[in-house]
Amino acid sequence: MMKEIDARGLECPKPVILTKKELDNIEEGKVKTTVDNEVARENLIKLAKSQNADFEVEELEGGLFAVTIEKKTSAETQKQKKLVEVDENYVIAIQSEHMGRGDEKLGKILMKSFIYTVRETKPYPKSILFFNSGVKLTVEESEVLDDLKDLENEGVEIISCGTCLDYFNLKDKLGVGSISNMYTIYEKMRNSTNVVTIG
Amino acid sequence: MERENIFLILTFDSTHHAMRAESILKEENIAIKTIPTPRDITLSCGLAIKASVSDKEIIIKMHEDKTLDFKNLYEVSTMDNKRELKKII
Repeated sequence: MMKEIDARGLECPKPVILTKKELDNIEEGKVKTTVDNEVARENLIKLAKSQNADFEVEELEGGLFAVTIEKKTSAETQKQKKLVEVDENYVIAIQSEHMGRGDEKLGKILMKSFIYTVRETKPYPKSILFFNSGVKLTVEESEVLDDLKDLENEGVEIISCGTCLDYFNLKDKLGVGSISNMYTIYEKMRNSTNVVTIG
Repeated sequence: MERENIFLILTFDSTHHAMRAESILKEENIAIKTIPTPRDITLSCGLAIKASVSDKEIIIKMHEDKTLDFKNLYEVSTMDNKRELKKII
């Protein structure tokens, strides 16, 4: 069963609201939403991830994207969840491209080493938040991009502050994870009792 | 750098040595990764460099030519959660 939503031309957050409504209405099945911008696409992906649902993104002609989200019965979702070794209550906030203050060159190398260690150690955090110059770690030329991509594949949410990417002129260079705003960053922190700040 | 089951680890006497080696290897376009020294390797500073086995010859040659300074070179192989550490230099 596939339900289709045409969300072209709709202002944010309309596409997400419409999609969520459809997902809530069905027991199981797929919802395919067509949108005309990248922010809407990213928000739909975020919605899928927050519901632990499988999703598929197609790039269509004319700058359109179709995001298909599959809702499964709760038994199936439960089974999937168990396979991922993520500590639901653990969030890392990275506020700089350097780890610690004192020497920037050393700080950069420590940060690389830190992210490598996170990738090598289970259970993984639920999310890793990047803000201020921390967003330089999630862009295409970042030296830790492969570690962060691995973490994302393992189910860790990689979230970069949009204002910060914009400030550093890096908005179209994002290499991993999604772009978010202060509301999401705060929400992730508030929903966790174990937030570790690095930077 | 790909995640491999066999890789090289270079260890150093100091953090400065590790950082210098990192920039030399990068200039040579050798794919490396600076990592915390694995716990099973003691007697070295906290930073190590992970490199691909395919670059073993060139790394050994650079060490012989004294263009690259490191303390030890290990080959690490992992299989089913078991780790084997072989000291090459």
